[in-house]
Amino acid sequence: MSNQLNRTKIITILVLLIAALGIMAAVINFNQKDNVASLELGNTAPDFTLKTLDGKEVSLSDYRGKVVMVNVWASWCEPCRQEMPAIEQAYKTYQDQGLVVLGLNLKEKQVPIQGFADTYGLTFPILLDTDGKVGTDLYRVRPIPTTFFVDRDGILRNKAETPMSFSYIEGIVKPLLEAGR
Amino acid sequence: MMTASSIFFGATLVCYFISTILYVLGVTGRKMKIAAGKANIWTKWGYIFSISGVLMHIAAMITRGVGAGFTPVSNMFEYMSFWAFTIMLAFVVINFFYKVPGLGAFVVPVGLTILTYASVFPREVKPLIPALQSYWLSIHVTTAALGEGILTISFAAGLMYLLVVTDLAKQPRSAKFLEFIVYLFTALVSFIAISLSFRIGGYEVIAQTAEGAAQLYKMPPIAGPSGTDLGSLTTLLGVSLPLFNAPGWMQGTDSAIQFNTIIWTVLGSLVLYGILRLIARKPLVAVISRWVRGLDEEMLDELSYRAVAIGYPVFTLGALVFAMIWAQEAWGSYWSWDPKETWALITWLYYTAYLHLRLRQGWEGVRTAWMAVAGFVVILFLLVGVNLLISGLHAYA
Amino acid sequence: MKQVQAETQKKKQKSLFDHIWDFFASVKVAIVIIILLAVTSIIGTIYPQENAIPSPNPQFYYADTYGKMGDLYYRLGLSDMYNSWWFLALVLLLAISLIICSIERVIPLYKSLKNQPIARKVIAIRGDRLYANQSEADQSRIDQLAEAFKKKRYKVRREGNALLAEKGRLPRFGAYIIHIGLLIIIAGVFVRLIPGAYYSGMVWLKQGERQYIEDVGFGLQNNGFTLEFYDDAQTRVKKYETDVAVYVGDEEKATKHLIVNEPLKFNNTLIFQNSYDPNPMFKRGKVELTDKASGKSYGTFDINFDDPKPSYQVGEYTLTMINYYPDIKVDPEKGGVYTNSRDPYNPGLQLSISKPGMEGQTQWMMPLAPFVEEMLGKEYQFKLKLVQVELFNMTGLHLQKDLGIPVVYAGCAVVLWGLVLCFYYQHRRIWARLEDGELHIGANTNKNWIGLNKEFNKLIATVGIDPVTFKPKAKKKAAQQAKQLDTPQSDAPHGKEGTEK
Repeated sequence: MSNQLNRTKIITILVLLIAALGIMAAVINFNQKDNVASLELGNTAPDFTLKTLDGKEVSLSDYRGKVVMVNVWASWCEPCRQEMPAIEQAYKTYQDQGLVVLGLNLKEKQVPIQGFADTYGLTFPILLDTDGKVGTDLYRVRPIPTTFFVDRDGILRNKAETPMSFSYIEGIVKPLLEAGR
Repeated sequence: MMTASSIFFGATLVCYFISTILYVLGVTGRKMKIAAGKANIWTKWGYIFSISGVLMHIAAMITRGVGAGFTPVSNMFEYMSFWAFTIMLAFVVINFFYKVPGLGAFVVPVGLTILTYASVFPREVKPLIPALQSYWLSIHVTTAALGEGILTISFAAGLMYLLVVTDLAKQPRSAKFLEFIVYLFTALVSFIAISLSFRIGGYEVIAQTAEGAAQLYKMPPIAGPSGTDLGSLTTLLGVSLPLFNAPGWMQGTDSAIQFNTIIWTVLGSLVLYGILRLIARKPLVAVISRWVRGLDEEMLDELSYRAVAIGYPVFTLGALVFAMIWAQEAWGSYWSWDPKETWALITWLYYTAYLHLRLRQGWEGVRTAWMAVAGFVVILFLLVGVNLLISGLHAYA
Repeated sequence: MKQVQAETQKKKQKSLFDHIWDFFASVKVAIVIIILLAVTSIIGTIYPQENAIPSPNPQFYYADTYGKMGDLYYRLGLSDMYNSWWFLALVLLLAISLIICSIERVIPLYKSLKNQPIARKVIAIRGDRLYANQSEADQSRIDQLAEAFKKKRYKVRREGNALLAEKGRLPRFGAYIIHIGLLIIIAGVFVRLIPGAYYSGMVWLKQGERQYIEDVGFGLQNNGFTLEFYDDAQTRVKKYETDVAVYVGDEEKATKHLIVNEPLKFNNTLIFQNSYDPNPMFKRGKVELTDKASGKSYGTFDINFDDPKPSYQVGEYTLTMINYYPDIKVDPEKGGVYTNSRDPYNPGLQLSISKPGMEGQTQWMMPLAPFVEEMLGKEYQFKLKLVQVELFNMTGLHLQKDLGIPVVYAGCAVVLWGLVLCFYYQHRRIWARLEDGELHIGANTNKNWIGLNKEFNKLIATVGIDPVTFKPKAKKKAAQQAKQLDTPQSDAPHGKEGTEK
């Protein structure tokens, strides 16, 4: 009788403790849901097709064999404005060696983007991600600017979540350009 | 309607005031010495004035509600007034069954104080913002206030119990604690008196610091916001203010003003306490403990517990369950850890601990009486402190 | 508790599980957990929690607003305290304590009430606080009493010359009903952990905009938002309401004129009118081009401020958009201009106005900053005037899906039921026994002796016994001794009512 009682107690305690630990794990997992896993470096960068400011359709896979820098930006974002001249400079400097810059604008409209590109004298292609399908959903960009670096084989090699300087870009892009040769 | 309401409100204040005086005279008067613990002519009339006060109070609230077009529990004035009402209502009802004349001498002054505190807040009727346009709001607030009113009776009975059982000469520590409780009451009174008088005088000083936003002082700034030049703000009776500044780590938006209010309250209470002490020429608790002579301690202990036993379910219903339903309706989430909500939970947990200690651990008498007294401090913080010191969703008013 | 310990000590050794069991079965431990919960909850109210701060960057907000203390508060994780693992652990400890405490006491209480003797010893009945007797009585008295008890809705059981009448046994379990209710509430809160059972989020919709919310499986469209104030100065809001439509795919599934406090329910999801953007946005406008000097009008054009066209035609004039800033700001340091957001709160247009044979003239237009426009525009040949404009406020809808809500409400109902049983009802028992021709009647209750006394007197009057009054509670030591002697009275070894009057 008392043995049986003891067993009931043991089972009750075990069930309660396991349930408690399970709930704790579930809650901790629940609270971290917001931090969706970001893209993993070393994998193939997801392909996408978007319209450019000039009305052409452009895919990431079109640039296989080149080093591609995908810069996600918006004109209302101050650090984005800061880094634009550096990006433009890097594009001009390394264009011949096989660097492509794709300026992926997040959810803005044609006319303000055009004005911005003219003001800053941007010469690289600007892609219009009007509903955030590529930037927010596919590439899971949280803060902007965020820049992705894709090597000549289409592999995602690096990611920057800060405004970049020219030397910063150079530090990442140069090895990628040289590696492909 | 609003004029009628104001008149009724004034009449309520007068009734409670007269009732307080009658009760205090009744328990200190000579007749008390003859028939210890029994009702006398003074306390009888005190009770009658309490009842008429409650009736006036009902009239004041009904007229205000009709005039405004909604249940008058939407801002601090209305809410504090309602709380005073529930305290007095609980007192009138409980006193009918328990007939402890001395109880009035403790409860009615509390009710009067709370009602006076209500007058510190602006009285104009403001139309309701959309989130408050819900009948759940009225249900939640009135039930919660009723629970808090009943729990206040527990405090009064607990305090009386302590005064009865404490031998002031032989238990100096308890005597000091009780004296401190009396001091806290003078602090509450002086805080209200100071706020009220400066408000009536329309006192306002704007303090502008180099970096911070302008701060509107409603009391003379003894302590300015950190970074103010001393004596630069204003003068009071020839003294240049501020005398000193709030310490630098007080960086909250209103913390300098709150700090200043606390200084005023401490100063005011020391003056008030000093005067009373001079008149009495002995610790105030020695005076007050005479009021309860001859009362049955067990009955007071029972009354204090019984008030919790009645008030706790009402509080649970009003301050937690109805609050959750309203929050779900208005904000789409039944619980959001808003400070007011959290403090309601803290109060509930406190009284839960009280009940378990009393019913399961056999705590009785002195220990639970102290808990009942401290419980009033918790309620006071829930209703007044949270609004003064912490802001949250309930900071509408 | 002492009895439990005594019992367990009999078994030679206590296992780890016994220790755990005893730990959670202790009321002291439960009280400590309750007090810990209360005290830690206080800490979380010192500063606002992260869900209540007006900033998306808590790491800076606390330091900026509350100084060093605020920074420390954030670093210690107190700014999101109620989601912390240790607070959660406290809640779970409370739940385990609730379960084990209840099991520990409900079973003995149930057994003892079930097995309570009908015939009590006369000496015990005499010891009851409410006691009456009658000499020269016989069996018929017991029959009369049984009848009278039944009329008062007592459950009457008899055994020879003894009788036990009982009423309100359930209130004895009131405290445990409260515990079960609390457990249901806690379970209801954790329902959100089930995938798909919980979603909470805000949706901001412009006029006419439709957004699809993946987590709840439908889209919402704003078909019109109205905002009203009580006063002309627009300081106190009277109402804000949205005509909202629910879409699944391209099919409209439901519509509602959504007002605060009255949500729309669709697919287990509640849609609340939560807030609105106090800053209005520009939607469409009509712009008139005039000659600045003469005031002569050249005509008008319509503009969509959210997505303007690259150029407009007014008569023979072509207006080309050089730059468009939906929310223009002037950089005070560098003197440049930029847009502060992607939405047209404060549009700024830089246009080039030309006609065949006339070189383009660059000109600014800022409807909300006429002074800036004036300053810049001293040399302008033309004037661009907004003659008609449609403004709107974004509506903020809150979506809440929580399948745990009914569970929580059910738990609340159970708690309230338990509270009512526990505090407003009582368990009354009356024993009668005939011995040596004398009738002894004793009564016991867990509360409200006055009420029982009244009822008792009415009942004994039926057999012709004069009214009695209950004895005052025996004082401390005497009371404890009485309890030990009189076993039926303390039938539950830990019956909470034992200590109550």
